[in-house]
Parts: sequence; structure tokens; C-alpha cells
Amino acid sequence: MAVARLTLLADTLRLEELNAFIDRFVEDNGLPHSLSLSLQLVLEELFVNVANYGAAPDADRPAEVDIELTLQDQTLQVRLTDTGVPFDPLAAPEPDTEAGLFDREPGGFGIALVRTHMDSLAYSRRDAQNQLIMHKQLDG
Amino acid sequence: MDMQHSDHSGICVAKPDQRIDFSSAEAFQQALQGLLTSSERGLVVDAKEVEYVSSAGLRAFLLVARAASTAGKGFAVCALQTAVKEVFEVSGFSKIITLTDDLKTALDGI
Repeated sequence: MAVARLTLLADTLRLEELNAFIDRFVEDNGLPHSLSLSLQLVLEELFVNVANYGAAPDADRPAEVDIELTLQDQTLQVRLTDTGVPFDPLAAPEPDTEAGLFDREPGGFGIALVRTHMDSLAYSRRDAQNQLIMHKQLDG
Repeated sequence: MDMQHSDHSGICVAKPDQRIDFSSAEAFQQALQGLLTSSERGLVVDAKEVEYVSSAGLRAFLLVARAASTAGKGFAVCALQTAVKEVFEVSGFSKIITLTDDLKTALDGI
């Protein structure tokens, strides 16, 4: 079993650090580069969400985000915890993927991408933190 | 943002070679807008070298596609890598932005 963990402030300037962390985990475990890109896509969406909307409720400083990657057998678990305001990203309304060029909201489909790239997602609110646990089954 | 580009009979072909993510999307969009404006007939983005587009990156493509439509110019994206194409498809953007397998088809369509 391999575990890696990163804690950082939910500031979009820290995205590069997050991407480097993912790259390192994927390389260290001999996993394909395509998996790194897939995880970066998922975590960019979720991290930027927290950075934009999830400021810590009692302070003017950004929320703190904790990311834990666990690889066991062929299952990858991603646990994302943040100290931001309560927010269930899975409850967000589905974007209209049929809208025309000018009717379309330019955002909101990030979660659709997350759902495509992960096999399971579960949200919970505990100890004043948002927690999202995701799994992805890797090909043998 | 520096981007390799060339003119094909009044159509500008831009060839980005970087990730289009939250951090780069705005500069990317502005670079494309500039190329679109100075082009005579339209803009094709040759995405062959682009391995990563996030939803922030998609937004940039959407805004440039709108600007092209408003200006009465053509816009297409060609030669997308599989994972990038999937991002366009999952979001439904493949229905509103012209995607082609190769550059020639994109140029012929404008």
C-alpha cells in the first residue's frame, strides 16, 4: 500500500504544487502519465471550487485543504478534506450540456468531469470539515 | 502568452503547446482573441501538442468561439488528443464547437 498526503491553503496560486504532488505519486508508483493528467483534472476542479467559494467561515484567510492519495492493490483512493464552509459538490445542479453557443453557462460542468474520471464519490460533513472520498479502479 | 501561429489563406492556425488549465486559461484566451481579431476569415486551434484542458480551459475555448461567431468568422479545433477530446465531449462542448480530426478538414470547413 502506498500513501501520500499534501496539506495546503486553498489558494489557486498553489495549484502547481498540487499538480507536482500528483505527478510524484504517479511516478513513484510506476503508474501511467495519463492517470496523472486524469487526477489533476479532478483535483483542479475541486480545489479551485474550494479556493473560490470555500473561505474558512470564521476568518479572512483561505480554507485549508488536505489531500490523501492511497493506492492499494489496483484501487486508488483520493480523500479530499477542507475546512471551508459546508459545500457538497455532488449536490450541485447538473449543467445543461445541450445549450447552444450563446445560452450556455461557461462553468458548472467541472463536476461532470470529476464523475467521469472517478468510479465512486461520497461526500460527508464532519468535524467542521467537508470530506470527499473518491475511488478509481485501475486497469490490471 | 507566446503561441506559434501561421496564416493559411486568411485563416489563422494557432498551435499552442502548453497545458490549458486554471492558471493559463485567461492568457490563452487573450492570445486566441488577438489572433482571431487579426485574422481575415477565422481561427483554427491545432491542439495536437495540448495534453491537458480543464474546465477553466474549456471556458476559454467557449468565449473565443462566441467571439468568432459574433464577428462572423470561422472557428474550429483540430487534432485533439484522446483525453482532451473526452473533456470536450463530457461537457457537451463538442456539440457547439467544431472539432475535426485533422487540420485540413478544419480549414476546408471554414
